[in-house]
Amino acid sequence: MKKIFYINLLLFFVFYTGKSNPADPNLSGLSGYVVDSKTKETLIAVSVYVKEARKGAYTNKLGFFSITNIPPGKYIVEISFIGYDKKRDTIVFTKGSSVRKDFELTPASVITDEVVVEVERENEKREISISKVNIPVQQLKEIRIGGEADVFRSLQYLPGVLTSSQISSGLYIRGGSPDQNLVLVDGSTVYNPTHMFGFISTFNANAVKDVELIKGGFPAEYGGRLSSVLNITQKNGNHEEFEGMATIGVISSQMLVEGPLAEGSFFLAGRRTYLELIKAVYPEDPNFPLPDFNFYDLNAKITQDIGKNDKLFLSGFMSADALVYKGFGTTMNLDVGNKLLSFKWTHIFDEKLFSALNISGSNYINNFNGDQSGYVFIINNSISDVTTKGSLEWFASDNLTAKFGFETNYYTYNYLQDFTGDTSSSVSDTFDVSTDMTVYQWTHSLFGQLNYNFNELLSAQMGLRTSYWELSKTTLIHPRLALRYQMTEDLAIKIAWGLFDQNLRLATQPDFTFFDTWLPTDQTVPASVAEHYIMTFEIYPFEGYKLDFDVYYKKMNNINELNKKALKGEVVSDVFFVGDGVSYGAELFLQKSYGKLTGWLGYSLGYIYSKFDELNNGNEFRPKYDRRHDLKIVGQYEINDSWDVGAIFTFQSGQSYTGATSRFQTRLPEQNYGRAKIINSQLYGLRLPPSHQLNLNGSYKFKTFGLDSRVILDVYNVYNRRDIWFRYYNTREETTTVEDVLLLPIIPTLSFEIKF
Amino acid sequence: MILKILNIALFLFILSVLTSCEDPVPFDYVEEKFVEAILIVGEPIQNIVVMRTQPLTKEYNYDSSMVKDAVVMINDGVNSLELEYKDGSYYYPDTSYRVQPQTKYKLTINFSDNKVLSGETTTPKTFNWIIPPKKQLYFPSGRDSITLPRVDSLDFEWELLTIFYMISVKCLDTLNYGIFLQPTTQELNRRISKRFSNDLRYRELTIWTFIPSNKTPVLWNYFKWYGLHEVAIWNPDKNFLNWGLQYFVDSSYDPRLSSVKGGIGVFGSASVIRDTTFLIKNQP
Repeated sequence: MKKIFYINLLLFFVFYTGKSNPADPNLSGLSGYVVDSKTKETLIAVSVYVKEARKGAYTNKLGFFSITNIPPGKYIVEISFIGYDKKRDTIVFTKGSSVRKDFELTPASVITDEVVVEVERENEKREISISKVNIPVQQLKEIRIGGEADVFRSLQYLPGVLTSSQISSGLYIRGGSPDQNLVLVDGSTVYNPTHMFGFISTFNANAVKDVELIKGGFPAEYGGRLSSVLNITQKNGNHEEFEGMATIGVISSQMLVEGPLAEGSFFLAGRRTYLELIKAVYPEDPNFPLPDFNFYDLNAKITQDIGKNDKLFLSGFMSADALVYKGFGTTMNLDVGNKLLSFKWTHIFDEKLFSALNISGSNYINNFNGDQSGYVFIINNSISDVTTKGSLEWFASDNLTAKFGFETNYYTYNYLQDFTGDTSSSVSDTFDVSTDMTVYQWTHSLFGQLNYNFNELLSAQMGLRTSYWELSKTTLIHPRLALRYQMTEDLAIKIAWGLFDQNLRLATQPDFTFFDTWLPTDQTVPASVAEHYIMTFEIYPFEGYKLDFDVYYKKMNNINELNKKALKGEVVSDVFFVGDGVSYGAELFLQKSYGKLTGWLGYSLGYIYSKFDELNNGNEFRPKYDRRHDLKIVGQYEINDSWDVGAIFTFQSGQSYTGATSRFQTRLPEQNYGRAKIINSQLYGLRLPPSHQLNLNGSYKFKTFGLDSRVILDVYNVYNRRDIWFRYYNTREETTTVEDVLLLPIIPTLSFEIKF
Repeated sequence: MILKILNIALFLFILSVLTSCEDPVPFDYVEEKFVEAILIVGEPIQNIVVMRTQPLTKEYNYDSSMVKDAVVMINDGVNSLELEYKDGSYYYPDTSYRVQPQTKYKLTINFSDNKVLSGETTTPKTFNWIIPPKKQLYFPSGRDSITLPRVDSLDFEWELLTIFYMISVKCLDTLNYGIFLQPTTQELNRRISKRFSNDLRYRELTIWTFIPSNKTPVLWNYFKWYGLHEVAIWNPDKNFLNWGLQYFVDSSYDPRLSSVKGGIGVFGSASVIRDTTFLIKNQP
């Protein structure tokens, strides 16, 4: 009944708004692409503003914009974007005839935000952005750890975004676990975007053009995850000339090349660590062998323009981590990797209609095998995903924008686990103790989304997403709704509500992501569903600053916790406990994106609670990653053309941990000593001390043989505060001691970068 | 305006500090009763340990945690057997009584404070060796190390009854070595030199592990001494299997893996096959 109601409501909205807003044949429109004048790289989120008509738009993920219902006349069009000179163009609009014009922006240093604010408000009428954060990529690149600029690491300095520890890059966003985040690269899903056990992400910051994080209440065009959407767009490449860059760092080095290719461009970037090469130089004690470890990632993209209205994109992404250990009669190999290939076609029908079709294949695999004196074991799990998705974006009128689309996924899950000691034996020899199975699944989704402006002050966004999961025979129809009201010139209120679902579940260890295993929802577990309520106050308190104040409430049903003591895994309910969770809180985000000083101050107050029948005696508990207060201050200052400095300060409530009150000694038969066991008190009922940290960075630009170069010094954890990773009770002796395992000390690193 | 923002930020910061302080380690200890009782098919009822938990704030004392005055009863469906306490555990005095296979047993323990603890187990079937362990086994040659490939094997196999078994390897004599050789010598036994010097269970004579199979080559890591060893394969019931999982995984107690009511612990059973092997030193 509910599903029929939502469908009827959407249909009513479509017809009502369509009828109330017939297209005016006397008005004109403007559409086109905005590109970098030097490289012809399309630019995302550029503001295009028709001044006298007070109409504007932002370029979308493909660099395309459209402004409709412009009265005939001669207007000045202003195009502006961070890092580029503002451009002004005079365009004559005639009755009933639209203008198609592409603009080129010239790179510069600083722009003012005056026009951007106006366009932001205009753009909000097209698509109300709830809990969306766009951080300029240049700012993200300055945030480093161990000399590595990392997208995920940068995002963790936003309010409402937490990690399980300093050495993990998995993101907990408003109480949701990392598997609840939809991570997209050029529109295609990536399943385990981490390197080095989760220490850094697989995204090469130099290959990234745009990073958009929607922390909740995301529109109907996105689905399949409960909490958030992280949308990463790779660079297209320089259309005009060949160029490149090489960077040498402590952990890894990287190189990128880009340039023109036929009617478009190409972009290629690679990164590799060389820890095993360094290890080879130093003499190793054969009695204490160290493992060999390395990782690499590769990004590639080819873009071709087919006429004025069509673009083709072929993009690929590959990452791999490998660890080999030999010693003590044991050999172990650990391999983890992602592969992604996507093909996208965009077409402009006219200034009102824009389409995109994306076909992609994504694969994530983890393989662990070993041999201990002839006892052989293997774990080999993978997920493959072939996806086709398409969308139509219709700028129907000045007041109505619609987007419709579909998505079809074909998943293949492979699970191979054999601990019998002889992986060559057949299953029947060893009584089904090994697992070797392949599961196939189709999922299909449709979505419809409308943005309607009731008047100059009030606009609404309504969407509906319907999904069908073949394995569990589940059909879900979930609405999304957002409203925006401009209270005063500098204050707008936005509210959002929506239902979100998730088919996939991740079996993982939060601090070590090597063994991540994705599982589908089968008929033994119910669908995971979340309900978001969000209210945002958007304020421009004074020039150059934007302040967002969010209040949110998120209810999650049928979420999962890994059953670490499961002895079998024939169905999904064997592997997980299923329960519920709720998170709520408030976030304050004061951002300055322009000028010599840029950065932000973010504060969040958050509460997270979970409840599982099998955990904590069925009582509600707060998870490990619940942090009540979270304060982050990020600043970057351009001293002059050569010198930049920056600082990051964080202060967070301590993580939760489980206390204990008593112990006993357990002995298996024939044992004379056994092991001590502690009896826990409330699960995650205690808190560690608060954690705080200061990171500083500085960079100097110069020329090396005439080539632009930069040396970057960053100091992680300047005052060497060793936060606690986890606390445990040491019961090795009769006296129990409480001990802490500490996290990273001060880490100064130096990197060198050269462009050619 | 900037001053206002700074004031707000300072207030938030102070609030954060005040409200996010570390929690002290808890000391609200509540004593619980604990039992470890494993019935072994074909063997007398013995080694049933009844204890009480102790607070973490005090030094743990194994002996003083013993409960010596409980009334421990085991019912085999026909007889009610009352156990006696001796030297740290409870046992059934009639040692001619043997635990039967495929039989349901019930445990009841009455404490002096009127608390009652109970459990049930159904003993598994018996089974046999297919390939028993070799009588003598040579440790990898060369240095006293297990970094080298194996030169011998201890492949053994047993009847397949279930998915999970447990293996125990126990050193039967840590002192003597040469007396077991032919001809005998005066050579004494010693520990195997290993690189992991801070062995968590240095004093432990018996090493346990799970095995999801009914055959295995030797795992050299499981030997801590040379000399005479007993290798035992255990076919556990579900309670004992869960308790083994409790033992191996996590340092904290998991109530879901307990099989007794009114307290914590295990009342389980197993059938077992045993044999011996002698581990020859690779050097004096």
